[in-house]
Amino acid sequence: MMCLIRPAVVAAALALTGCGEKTTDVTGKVTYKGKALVYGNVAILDGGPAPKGGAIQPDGTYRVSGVRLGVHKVAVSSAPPPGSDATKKSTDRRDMDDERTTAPVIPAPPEVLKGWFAIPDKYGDPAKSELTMDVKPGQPFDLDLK
Amino acid sequence: MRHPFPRSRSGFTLIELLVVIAIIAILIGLLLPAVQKVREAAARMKCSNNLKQLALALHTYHDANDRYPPYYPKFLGTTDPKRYTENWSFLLLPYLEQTAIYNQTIPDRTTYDNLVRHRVVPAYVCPSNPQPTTYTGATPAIALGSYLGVTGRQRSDWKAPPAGFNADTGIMAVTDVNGGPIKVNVASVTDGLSNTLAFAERPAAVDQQWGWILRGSPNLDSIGWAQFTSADTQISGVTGCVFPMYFQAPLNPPSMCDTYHFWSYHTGGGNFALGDGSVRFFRYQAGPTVIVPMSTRAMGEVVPNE
Repeated sequence: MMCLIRPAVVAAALALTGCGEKTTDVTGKVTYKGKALVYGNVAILDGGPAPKGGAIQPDGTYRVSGVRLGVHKVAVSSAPPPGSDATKKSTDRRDMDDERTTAPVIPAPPEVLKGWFAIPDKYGDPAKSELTMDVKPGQPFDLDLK
Repeated sequence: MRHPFPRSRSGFTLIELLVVIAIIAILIGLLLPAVQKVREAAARMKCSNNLKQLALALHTYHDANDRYPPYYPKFLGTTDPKRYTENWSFLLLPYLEQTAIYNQTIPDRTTYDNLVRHRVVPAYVCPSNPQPTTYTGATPAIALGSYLGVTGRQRSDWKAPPAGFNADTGIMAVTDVNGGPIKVNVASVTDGLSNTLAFAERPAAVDQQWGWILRGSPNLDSIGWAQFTSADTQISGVTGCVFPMYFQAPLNPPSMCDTYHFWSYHTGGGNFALGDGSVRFFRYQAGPTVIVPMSTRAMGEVVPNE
């Protein structure tokens, strides 16, 4: 009896996993005018309930997990890393409220603070970034922003 | 001579009782999920009905004032109560049967805080939202809301308005770049009231520091945008969020990053109140394609069918 049940369970498990939508992990390197980005994120609008995103590592590489296959719009943003000068001066009077307690700012590693530079805002908006990606399994995708 | 055992026994054995109890337990177990579903459905209905009330209140306010309510006049002193009373969440109170709160004399911010900010307005709370209704870390407590007014496409729009606008692009956009009021009324909504969003769902932040419905600063307290990129001002101390954000599914479990965008505790999407007074449910997939064009009042975008 046992020898009958076990293959059946395995077959059922295989059938269940095979039913899911095909997704893959996208990896690559982000550069702006040839220089690697050290901070920020890559977002892929794959038509799911939320954009899929992955953080840019200090060496410029990124990994976005579980992206549906196909051609998708892509956005790259690189906000000033926490603790950088750019974040300190961007206080907006409209946002101030003396009673609000905010979480303490944990500064980014020094190499990120040193290596960070701003990229044009348009790359952060998929409608304007003009970046698309044909997502296929196992293919790295380097993003070179001009 | 007496018999050692009675001939006929009355009562049940332990086994019989256990079997009966087990059967009853199984039946209740079957019933509970059904009851829970009905409760959820009722909460969802109440939640969308609240949005309907907000949309109708917005219309009534417009009838009386020939303009949509402003939000938060800019460049006021931090102690000026107008920071909070010139906001839709306060100005709509008389149209939501909360005249008693509205009619109080409020000379300064301390009075406002003592009299108003802890008042939980039932229409501002979605029963599907399991969060507490007040933030008790401050004295007096601060009421938390489940809804935001839709202020337009993107937060940075009010700093660099697109052509034809002098501030935000939605119908609740009412301070210009200098802090002066802008009159936005039905005539300004050239995209059509049925194609323009008025209110959206967004539960309070998980740390309860955002979503102070009656004490909005008002960035993400009582108003929100359809798209949020990293170029917009970010919440201090919140890192690791993926930009851009749209109306989209929250992280599991919801995190501080979900403070930026519209979302709800319903499955697969959220409700929106439209300018024409209707309430529609949108799936999260509609975030970038439908909700962004519908958030503006006069940009003439074509809204794709969902």
